Amino acid sequence: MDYFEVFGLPRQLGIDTLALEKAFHDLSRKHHPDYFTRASPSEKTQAVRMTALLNDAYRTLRHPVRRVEYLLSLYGFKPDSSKVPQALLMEVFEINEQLEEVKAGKASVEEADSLRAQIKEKRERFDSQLQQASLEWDELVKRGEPEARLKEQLGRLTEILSESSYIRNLERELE
Amino acid sequence: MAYSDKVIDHYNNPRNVGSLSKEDPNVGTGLVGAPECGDVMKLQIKVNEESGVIEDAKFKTFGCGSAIASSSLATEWVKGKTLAEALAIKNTDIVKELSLPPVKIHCSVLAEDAIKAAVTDWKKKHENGE
Repeated sequence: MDYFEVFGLPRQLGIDTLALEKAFHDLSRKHHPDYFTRASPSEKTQAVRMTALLNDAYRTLRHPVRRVEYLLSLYGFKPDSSKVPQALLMEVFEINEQLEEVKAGKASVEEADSLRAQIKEKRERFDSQLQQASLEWDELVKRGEPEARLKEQLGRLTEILSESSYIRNLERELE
Repeated sequence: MAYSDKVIDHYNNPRNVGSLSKEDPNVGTGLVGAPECGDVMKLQIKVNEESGVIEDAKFKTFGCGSAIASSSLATEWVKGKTLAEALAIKNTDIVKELSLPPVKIHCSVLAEDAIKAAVTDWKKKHENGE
């Protein structure tokens, strides 16, 4: 059973997180090992397994980036280092070098601020690209588009996602 | 997870940190990244045109200790080697030398990729002359 199936959801990226939370709580109650103390050993094991699966599924699906990562993994897609665009690497490298200056106290307040703004803008662009591509995915699934078209969109999502850890690292460095 | 002594040594005393001029025709630059962890690694080689031997190498890596150690070691190893010898360096050699745990193997792959990218860049610059 995959994480979407756990919650009876189609493989779509637009998820109502409030409804998801409620479903998680309902299902957790239903499968809670405490209710199975007098059940057979196999039923007990099943309850424990289901609870673990529910926790993993909920933690993954409630987070928009992890949700996409998981969807991609279901189709065997994962970030590929040979496909990271050189332009992105160059930009990230440069920002890192500037961050180093800021941390060493060699940069002016203006330079530090503009770097902060640059990273924030990258984050916002990433979020909106991911959201847009996620919406497109849902549309394709709803329309029952052929596999080739779906794979193309999965490739697009993988490409966008390859920026995710770079932005996260830059934000972490900034703190 | 604990780092091996060799990783810590390279991390604390990285060899050959810095950069060479990208514009220098004898310098090859490799810039690679691992999207899983967000590391970026730049490795540069300076090649003697007469002998084809790598005279100098520099790196700069923004990433975890293992990525820094892998690239530091890579610059040490490529120095004094011909391009063909440098290309023969395998990530598994780096894993062995630094005792990298399985979760850090991708750092050594990145270093191998960086060497290859630097050599490719140098060759591209010299395509016409050869």
